[in-house]
Amino acid sequence: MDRKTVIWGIFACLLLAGCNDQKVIEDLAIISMMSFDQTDDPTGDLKVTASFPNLTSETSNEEQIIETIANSKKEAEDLLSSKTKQQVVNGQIHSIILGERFARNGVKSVISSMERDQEIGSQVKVVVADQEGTEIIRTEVVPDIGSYIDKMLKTESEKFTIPETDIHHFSRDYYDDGIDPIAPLFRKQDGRIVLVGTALFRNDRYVDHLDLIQSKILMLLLSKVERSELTIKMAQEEKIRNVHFDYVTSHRNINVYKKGREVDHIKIVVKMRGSVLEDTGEESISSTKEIHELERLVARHIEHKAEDIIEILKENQTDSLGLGQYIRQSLSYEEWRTLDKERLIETTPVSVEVDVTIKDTGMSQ
Amino acid sequence: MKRRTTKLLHKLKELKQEAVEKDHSASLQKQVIENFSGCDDLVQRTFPELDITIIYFLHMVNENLLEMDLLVPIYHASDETKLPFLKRSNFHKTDDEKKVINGILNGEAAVFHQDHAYLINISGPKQREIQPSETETTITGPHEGFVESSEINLSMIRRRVKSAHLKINEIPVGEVSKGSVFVLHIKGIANDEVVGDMINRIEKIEIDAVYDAHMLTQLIEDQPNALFPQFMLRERPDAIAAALVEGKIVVVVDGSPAVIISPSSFFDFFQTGDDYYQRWITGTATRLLRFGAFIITIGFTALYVSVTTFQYEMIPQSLLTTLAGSRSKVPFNPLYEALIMEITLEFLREAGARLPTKVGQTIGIVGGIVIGQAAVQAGITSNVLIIVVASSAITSFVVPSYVMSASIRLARFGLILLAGLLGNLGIVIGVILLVIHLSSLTSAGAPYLAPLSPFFRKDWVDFLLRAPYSLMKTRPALPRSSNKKRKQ
Repeated sequence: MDRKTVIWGIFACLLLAGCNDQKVIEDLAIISMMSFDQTDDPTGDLKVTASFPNLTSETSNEEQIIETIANSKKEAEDLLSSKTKQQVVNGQIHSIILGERFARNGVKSVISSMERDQEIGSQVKVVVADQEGTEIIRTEVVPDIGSYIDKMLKTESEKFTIPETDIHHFSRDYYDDGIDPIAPLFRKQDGRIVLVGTALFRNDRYVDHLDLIQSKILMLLLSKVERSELTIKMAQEEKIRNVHFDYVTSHRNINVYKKGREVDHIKIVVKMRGSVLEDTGEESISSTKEIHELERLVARHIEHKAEDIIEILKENQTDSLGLGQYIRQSLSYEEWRTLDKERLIETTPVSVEVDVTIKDTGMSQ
Repeated sequence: MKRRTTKLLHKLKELKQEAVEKDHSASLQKQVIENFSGCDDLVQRTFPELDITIIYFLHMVNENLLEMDLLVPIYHASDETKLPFLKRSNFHKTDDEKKVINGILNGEAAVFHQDHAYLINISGPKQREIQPSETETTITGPHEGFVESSEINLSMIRRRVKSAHLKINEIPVGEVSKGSVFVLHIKGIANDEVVGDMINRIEKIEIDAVYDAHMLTQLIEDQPNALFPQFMLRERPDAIAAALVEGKIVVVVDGSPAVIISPSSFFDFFQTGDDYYQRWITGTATRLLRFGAFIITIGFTALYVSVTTFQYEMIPQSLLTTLAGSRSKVPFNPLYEALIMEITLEFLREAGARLPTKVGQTIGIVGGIVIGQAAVQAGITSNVLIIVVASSAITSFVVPSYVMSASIRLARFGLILLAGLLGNLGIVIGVILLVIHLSSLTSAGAPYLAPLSPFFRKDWVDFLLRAPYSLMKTRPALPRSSNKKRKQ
């Protein structure tokens, strides 16, 4: 390279800086959260609300909210851009909220559009609202709703209360014929955002939901749980006995039993280990015998709850536990192909067996 | 006819030569004095009763030596014919005019007696005392540093390497100044071919004068147009002794406190004496810290520019508001903002380096207030950029070699420009260009990026890590030592 080329190169670098697809951060409306709702508006059936932080000063935590009605997600983005002086960008979206009506009608179009967008990472969380998604975004109690929901999802999923569903998992479960997607469900209550439970999808349609306690048990049936807690209420001689069960680990096994070439039934075995820190029962739980009795009671209780959940799943013909995957593994491809997958969960008997080990009852014994 | 004339001419020539020889002593003295005409610092002392004239430069000789070795014997001499001291071994008899002139220039005194000249070395000009090196300070380890006199420097090296195998070649360099350059190596450890090549390079130099070792390196480098220095210079005798023992060649330039080590690799510039004197775990930790500093100083500002201009997706959500908020008042594009700050900082550094210490403090205060606060309040730069620029400035001074640190700072500007133009892609292109450039360099024929590329597994004990001494069993591959095993 001769000297002239080098000098012109440096010169070009200086002069051409800026002649490019620049996204200087203060000129951007960096969306942190987006919601999708169904509307009856004549101009379109998709209402998109986006919130982005107001970045005009270092200290302000203000949010700006823009809203538009369109027919598709990309069209909506185009329209959103015209509602603010900044350039609307998607690169920092951390979660999307699907409004109830929209979710019930199928969310495939939005999810696949987001998956294709190279600006949006696959770790964007999917959340379902129990009402209009826009109402969640328009909550005024917390200043920065995007990061608020983000943190809430993180702490709760670390406690294994709700599943942590991102776009990648959602669409993977959607396209997999052996499992149906699930997502956390939120609601605005008295001006606050509260976690309601888990939304169950059938294919890409929201069909039913589980409450918080149920979704904790769903997590036990779904995968290995590292640390969580459960308060168990048992009716005992006209009183309610509260047992606080703090489990350290929980392992789950799914066994598919076959009769000939047909699937006979499925057994889910959950092994839990933990300690009881609180018990409002009459007798103390100091002796080994009583502990064994308590283990049995807790196990029965969880089993009942789990059976209730499976009942709900069967009613909605949704396979949130991914039992289809286990059935698929036990069959040949030909057999799996000819199976009626729609009614698979409804027709296959599922039983749950819970094995509880109480390793201690707290510090003072 | 012809034959007669040639005979006559021949006779005439002989006569002339005789006359010249007869006149020699007087003319030698005269010629020498004539040569120095106009040199007011020349001292000429005559002792007519002894037929002795001594000539020397006042500022070049040691007064004590002059008194003891020359004047006292002269005072004690009683007779013109009996001058026994002239036969002492420190008096060198010579009749060569050039030698006499050179001797006087080197601080010797010339004694003219009868027809002959005697030179006695009583040189001892005022010199800087041995002090700790200011550019290379260490906390542990020896503190003495080289001075400007090559004699003192060579003595410091000899005191550390007490071996008869330590060989010194003196080569005169500079057509006008006639400075001395010394090439040192340990015979049996250093590669003779490499030594020969170095001597050859120095002999080939054609220049009026060489004033400093840094100047010499530029005349003997493999690639004079490269961005990075290819020879490491150290000002500490312990480091030089270590280099010699490893089989490297060392070049001492008279008049310079810096000593050249050849060959040097890129990573040698990140090593200090402290690495070796501290325990190996702490030594390794500081070395890793230094390489970390290198990465920060070369890329941090560029990363700021690319992230704020193109890749906003990379910013953590919690930092986004701070970053965008602090940028919101700034009227410039991030590239220009960063360039303004970086160049201002270079101004400050250069001003601080040139100013005397007492005035230099003012620069620090003015710079601190103007850049630290006023620029942000005025909305010229963002707070975050100040942190970025300051940390890359601090880390640039973590690199022990000033010459290397200056090269790195220059490379940083290239990366900033590329980041402003193409974002992270530009940084990647810049880093690739830098790696290509670095790996194409050689230092005295040895690969510059060794032992990383080419990969010398055995040398990794003294590279990113400073392994315990028990693991350093072989000498590094770089000097192509003829004796690979240490302790032999």
